[in-house]
Amino acid sequence: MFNKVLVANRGEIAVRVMRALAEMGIRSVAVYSEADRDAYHVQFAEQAYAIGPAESSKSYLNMDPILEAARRSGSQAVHPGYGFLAENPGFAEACEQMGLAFIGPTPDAIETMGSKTGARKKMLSAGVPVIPGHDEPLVSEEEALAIARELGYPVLFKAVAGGGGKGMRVVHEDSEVPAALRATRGESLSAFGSAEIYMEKYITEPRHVEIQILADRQGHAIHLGERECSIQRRYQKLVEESPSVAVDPDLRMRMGETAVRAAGAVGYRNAGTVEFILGADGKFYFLEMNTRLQVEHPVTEMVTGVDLVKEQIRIAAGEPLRIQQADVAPNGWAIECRVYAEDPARQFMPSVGAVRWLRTPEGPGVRIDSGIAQGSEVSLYYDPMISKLVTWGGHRDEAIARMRRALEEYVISGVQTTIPFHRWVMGHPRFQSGKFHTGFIDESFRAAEALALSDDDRTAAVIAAALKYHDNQFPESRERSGRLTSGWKVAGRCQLQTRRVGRL
Amino acid sequence: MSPPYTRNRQQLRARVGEQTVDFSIEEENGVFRVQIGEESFAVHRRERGHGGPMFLLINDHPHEIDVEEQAEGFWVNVSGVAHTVEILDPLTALARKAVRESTGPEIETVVAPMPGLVVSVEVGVGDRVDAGMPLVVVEAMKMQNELAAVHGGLVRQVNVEAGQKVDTHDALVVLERVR
Repeated sequence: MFNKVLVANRGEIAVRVMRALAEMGIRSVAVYSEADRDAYHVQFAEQAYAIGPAESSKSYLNMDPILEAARRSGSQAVHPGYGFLAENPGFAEACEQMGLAFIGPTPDAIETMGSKTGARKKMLSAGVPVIPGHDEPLVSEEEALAIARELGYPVLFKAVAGGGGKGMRVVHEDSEVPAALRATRGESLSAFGSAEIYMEKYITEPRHVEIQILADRQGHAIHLGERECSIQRRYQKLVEESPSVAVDPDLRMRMGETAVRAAGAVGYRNAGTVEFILGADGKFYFLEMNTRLQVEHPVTEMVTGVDLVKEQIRIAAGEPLRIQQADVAPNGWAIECRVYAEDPARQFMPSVGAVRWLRTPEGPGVRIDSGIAQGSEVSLYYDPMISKLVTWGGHRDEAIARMRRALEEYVISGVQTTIPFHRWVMGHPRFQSGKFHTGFIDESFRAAEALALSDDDRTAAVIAAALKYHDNQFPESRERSGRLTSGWKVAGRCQLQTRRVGRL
Repeated sequence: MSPPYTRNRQQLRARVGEQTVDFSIEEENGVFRVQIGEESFAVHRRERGHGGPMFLLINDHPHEIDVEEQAEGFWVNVSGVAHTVEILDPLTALARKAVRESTGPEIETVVAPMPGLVVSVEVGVGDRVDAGMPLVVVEAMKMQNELAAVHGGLVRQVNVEAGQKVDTHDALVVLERVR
């Protein structure tokens, strides 16, 4: 087993990986950009190395300083997390060349699955069902129009190098083609450095259901059930759960076996996820394979009891899988809400600033994987996801009730977050019924209604503003308020004194 | 024993979104009495140290509320959702009314909704644009956001160029409404 592992990432996932390392008795090395000197993840590592300026292209995406940090720290392996260099075959290759174990699949597997068109071809030849589409990058508007008509609208434009919901557009008719092509290309170029776009048939009322797999270096692979990821806004996953209401044991077995076959076709090893589109008719199609740890991996961990990050590390160290397919059985239900620093009342615009105050939920069945602490800066340089709130219940209703309770407890001051949005989702009859597809949020979420003030909250808002106004008018009264007879302040002072006595 | 202290009650008006309410507030020995319409509230307050939300007991019901002062009023966060509450005393109300009623060209200023990087500017001074037309593309957190004209009109000013960093509320483009 390794003695020391470098975590080439930031935020909640870096913290998550370092927690696994700590539990395994392995020392961890963090890297950080100039903007992240005081970041939360840095505090979890035993050593931390600066790797460049705030812009991720010059730091977290820049291989040389990261590899140099691995060399200087004497690390034996690198965990890439997700995003940044996690799916860059060149990085995996460079690690191996330096004698560092890359905690992930082979560069070849990353490369094949990283090209959507390449992956489609590979899956077709392995007998894995794929969505009808055009496998070559689109060369012109005219060609795009011709192919769209042939496949039949609606069609989906996707970035060849894409992922994470960026660089995708649904196109319903001829007139939308030019603008959609331009926009998808622009987004793809800026996010992935490539403007190549391809097209496929858009499956209506689809669910996004994915299968977690684990494969060791000895050629043994298993699946760990599904994750339901249909609660999305503009292709960005917001809520995930495991298991899925739409998957029965028979479908679970068929999708699981297909996923293992897909992974086998590229000689996959380590943890990976095969994403499927599940149609209303129960047919499923290969969407893509994510050759890394997923953001939403905790829901699988909660229902299977398997620590996926530890398994990743063991596999990379050459150990065989310790669990067999027959050992995997989902227990209960888990839900994850991704908390973004985005304002749901204002078209989910990014909200940046300092986290002035933070209270995280606690209590039975609650897990929180957070990348921030009180005082943290949420900057515009990186992904706006600041934490993942996960709840477990014996059944789905209990997991939902716990999530609603935990969301009430969660207070983040200083930046706007998607917490109120998640309260709306969890309270929505359609989510509660389990009968939804990937279009649910875009069709149903209307901020003005969903986030409207209740009468009680309006009254409270007016009172709070009135108090601040009063403070401004009579600054001396603010001093007095509480000083004379407020029982709370007196109680607070007593507590302080008690504590001081205790310490002496 | 200090004498009880009472502030003269002020008659005020608050606007939350589309709604306005009349209210008054007075303070006595650290307890606030707030009258909103017919209802009366006894409010105890505890500040939570630097930066934290106010903790209020309003008629014995606990509430946690963040309040920040902004140019347009108080930015009040209730249950994680921010609302602007404007407090109008009689003088301020009169002044705002006068501004609203003053005549002159109708100006639409398109401001940056968040800090980011200008990717492209789609218009130039003198262009006529329709409502909904993209004016500037700003990238923040790896997403490109098209900022469009709400009403449209004649482009009077373009204050930014591609590659420039902008902050929240920076005026990017100024339009004059054309009839």
